[in-house]
Amino acid sequence: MKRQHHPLVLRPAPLLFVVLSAVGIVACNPGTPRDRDATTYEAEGAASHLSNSTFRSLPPEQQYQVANRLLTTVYRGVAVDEFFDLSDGLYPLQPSNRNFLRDTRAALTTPMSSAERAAARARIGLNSDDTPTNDEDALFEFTNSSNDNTTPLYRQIPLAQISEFPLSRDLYVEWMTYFLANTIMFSPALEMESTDAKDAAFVYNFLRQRIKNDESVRDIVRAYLGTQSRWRVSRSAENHALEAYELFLGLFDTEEDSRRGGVACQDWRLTSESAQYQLVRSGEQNEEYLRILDNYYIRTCDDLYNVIVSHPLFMPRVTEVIANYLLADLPVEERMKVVEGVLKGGPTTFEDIFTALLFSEAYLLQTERPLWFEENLFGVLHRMHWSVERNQGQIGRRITREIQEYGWSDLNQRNMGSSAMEYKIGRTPDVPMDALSFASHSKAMRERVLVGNRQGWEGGTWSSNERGYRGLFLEAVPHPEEADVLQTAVREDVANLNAEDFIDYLFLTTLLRPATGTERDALMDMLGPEGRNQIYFDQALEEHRVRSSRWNYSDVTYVVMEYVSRLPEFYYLARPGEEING
Amino acid sequence: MKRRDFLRGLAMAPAVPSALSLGLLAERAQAAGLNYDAVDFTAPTVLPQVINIFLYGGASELSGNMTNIEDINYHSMNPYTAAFGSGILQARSLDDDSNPANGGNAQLTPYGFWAGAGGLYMEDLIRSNDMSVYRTIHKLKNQTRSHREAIFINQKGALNVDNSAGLGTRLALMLHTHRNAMGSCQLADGRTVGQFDDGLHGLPLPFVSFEGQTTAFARDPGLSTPIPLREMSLNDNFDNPYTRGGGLTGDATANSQIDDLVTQMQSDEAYARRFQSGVQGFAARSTMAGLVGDLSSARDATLPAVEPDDPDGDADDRLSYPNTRFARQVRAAVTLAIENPSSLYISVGTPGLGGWDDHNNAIDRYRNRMMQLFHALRVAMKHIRLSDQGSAAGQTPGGMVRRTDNIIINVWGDFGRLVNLNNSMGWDHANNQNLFTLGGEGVRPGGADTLGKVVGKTHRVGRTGVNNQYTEPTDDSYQTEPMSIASSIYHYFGAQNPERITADPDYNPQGDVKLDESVEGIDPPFS
Repeated sequence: MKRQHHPLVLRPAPLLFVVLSAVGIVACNPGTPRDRDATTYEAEGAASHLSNSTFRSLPPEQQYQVANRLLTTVYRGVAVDEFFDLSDGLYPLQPSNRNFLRDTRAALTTPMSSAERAAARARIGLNSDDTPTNDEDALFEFTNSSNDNTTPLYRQIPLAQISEFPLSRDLYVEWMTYFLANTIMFSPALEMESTDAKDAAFVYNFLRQRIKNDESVRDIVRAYLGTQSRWRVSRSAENHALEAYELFLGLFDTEEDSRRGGVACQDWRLTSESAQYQLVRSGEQNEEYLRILDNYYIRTCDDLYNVIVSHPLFMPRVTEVIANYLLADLPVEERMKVVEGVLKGGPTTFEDIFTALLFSEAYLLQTERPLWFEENLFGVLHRMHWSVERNQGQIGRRITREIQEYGWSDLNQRNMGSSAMEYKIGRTPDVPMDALSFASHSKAMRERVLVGNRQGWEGGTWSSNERGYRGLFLEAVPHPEEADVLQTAVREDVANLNAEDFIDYLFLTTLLRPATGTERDALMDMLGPEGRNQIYFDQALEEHRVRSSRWNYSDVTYVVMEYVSRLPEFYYLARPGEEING
Repeated sequence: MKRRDFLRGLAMAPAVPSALSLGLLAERAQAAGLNYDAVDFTAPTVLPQVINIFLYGGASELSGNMTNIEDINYHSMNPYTAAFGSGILQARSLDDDSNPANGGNAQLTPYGFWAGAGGLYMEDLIRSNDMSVYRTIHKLKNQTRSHREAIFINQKGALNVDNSAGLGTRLALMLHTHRNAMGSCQLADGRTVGQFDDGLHGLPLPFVSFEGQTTAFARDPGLSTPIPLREMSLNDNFDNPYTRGGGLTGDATANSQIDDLVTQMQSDEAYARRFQSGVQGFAARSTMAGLVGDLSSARDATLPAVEPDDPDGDADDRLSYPNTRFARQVRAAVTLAIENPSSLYISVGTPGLGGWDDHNNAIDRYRNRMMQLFHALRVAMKHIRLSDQGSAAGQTPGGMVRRTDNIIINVWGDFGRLVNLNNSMGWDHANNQNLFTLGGEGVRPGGADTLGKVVGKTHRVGRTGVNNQYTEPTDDSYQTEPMSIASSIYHYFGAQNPERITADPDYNPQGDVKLDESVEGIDPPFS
């Protein structure tokens, strides 16, 4: 796509030099096309990426934590048996792929082919115009609301696609789009009277397409500022200017500048509710040049937009907004150093910024923060070999409806303070941890995913089409007497584990770490002959074993899941390598 | 260092800022803790219960102040008479029973409220001595019109917006600091704080948010709020995600074994520190599990009986809240206050900024919203007054015998709005707003005399036909900063020098004194 150039609007001439010099200093002239491929961008300093060699030098357990931290952030996960080679048991932990980090980064830059994408979307249940196919075979059941003003469809599509696309640039674009649509910069603010689901549809498609096309941040925001969806949030000319300064420059004391911006935008207005909040324009354009932000002269709303996206504060602010979410718990001093590091590399696209932050040492090794619900839910589901197809109920085909549509569902994010695309100010950078939000998150994870998901880990409903079914601890094997018929049995690699290692396997799946000695002892006691009697001591092997049936494995899992669900740590992106109660 | 200064530095410096300047930012953040020992504290005889309803977005003052409407209409870019009807300039007598929603009917109530925007309810609340209105809460010390900073200023009661604790947190820390002086303080049901096992720390649900995570309870950067005094959040349906069902909960032995193991893990200091919010979240879950069940019973209880001609009665002559979002929120907060006398500070508000940010389409939306809010508040005051008419005479629906003249409701927001009707038929941001304060005659200094009046006079400022037109206090009018609202709340709870709590060395060295509730009210200008 051809890049648009936005020359600064500057009058009178003497000020031209002031502004150009300021822009030149930080090397972010908005009109300069990128002269390199997006993949060559590298952050510097505190945002330096975690190199593959450093990753490989980490202890295996820590590699697994880093890998899952990365994938959890994009609502995915890698299971224990996919990351480690379990052919000789769990220990010593042996990563199957020592280049996981490098390969993941490469995967996220590799687009799906058109055919792959079309096939994946058909499987998910989406037509090319984003309407649901409503096929019985479709993996996801989307909303049946056809009301364009109220449909939650555009909050459901991204989660479904992120969940089912292979690791690819397509998945990454979906995730970046969803992420940005939940920030103050791009939230369609569905809570407002003047917005509706059409704005969610617009913002989602607007961002998705432009990020996919590798448009620059400046071009995207420049185009977005003048859209009806943005005006439906800002609503009046003066407030449109005020919010542009706040959202995209981080300037909060702009009283006079906002007034002048309002004059520049005076020919634009939003119609009333009865006229469906349409953005309309009169012919009465402002004719007088107005000075804003000390150094710039503007006359029209277009001039204002050009100033915003060419302002030296623009890229720092956009980067900071994103960093504030991802690195929420990093002290502000350290967080700002990471932002500096991202900026030093001269990012131009959202992908540059996200990739710099996600793959930075600061994010992968240092940050520790509470998990967003989507991160926790989809992260652990994917680590448990979850398949939407095999599950029924809340974490089956309806899952995105449960999260985004059904107010009564435990999975619904409203009580978690994190509804998607809902808030005028976007989601708060910090995960809401007030009592109601946390209790709602915890209840959803415990009762729908961990202890309430026994059928899920036991394989759910699967058909003979899925001959390769492999779940958390079961797999499909031919029936001994009828080879064409499949039945579930404890997975061979899992059956080889002793009881302690099986407990560790479950801990690694959920908490990304093995059990501590205290935990292992307590759980072994609970599950041993004096307790639930699922574990016994095998005299021949001289080790504790889980009794052999799937029911025994299931009960051990049940107890461990119950414990995990009550641990605060489970709701955190815990810092890799930092020992728990050592 | 203000955020803006910091970002400017980041952008304009020859290189990105040095670690030194960033370090200063962090250092400043750590220096903000208040010294609550410096508060001159006299424990109140009866503990107040304050419900703060925050109108996010900043409500226009016009519903509660139409005294300048003629001038405003004349100078506005878009005339009010065209937008709202000719009645907007006409005085309305108390016995005028024409439909206020019809803009052609007279709109100016005797006190200068906007009849079609809740003004008739306001008039009732003033005349029943349930409410006072302060029309000149005037943000002068920091004149930002940014939501972010204005919300912080109001909800923190402080000008150092980035490094201050929320109003509720400051109140909690003040009470915590002086908790040893509070043993004989009575709750509204007659129990004393000293009767609870841990005194102040033993009170159930002392701080509650009905708005999820809120600035009102922003943490103090330098001081930790004791866990029993941290806010708990509820929603207006008293939904109860706090209980645990299924899993091992049915197996008492296994259940307690699991809990013991969790407790053992959390007893590790490093673990508790690392996952602090989660540890606290689970503690809150446990506390709330039983309490919320009781509250939902009270929520479902029949409301008190009212006189047959009461306009807020239903067909069975029972008090009835309107079926609106505001009414549900107000009812939930009032129910909690009535049924739990130890809920001392309750924060209510619409999350996000959409609510009252009427940049456009104010014609119907704003009036209807104000109508709904003040209708709910009129019912709420009756609910509070008649709460002892529960199933058993003299008892609340939850079976409590108590006084209710300690319950205060404050209603205010980010800021006020311009009075020019802009081209999107709305109002942009400005700095003068109303405070509506209701109830609590038993705990306000000055008692019932502080209620039933309208304080403050305004005039319009700004050139004809431009957007930047607003009201400000007249020279002879009482006026105060929004921090005074916080100051008053601290005073109700015992601070004799509450300005200390709103002060900070950089932005507001003197702080702000409490509202002067002894100021005389105005005479009704349109009677």
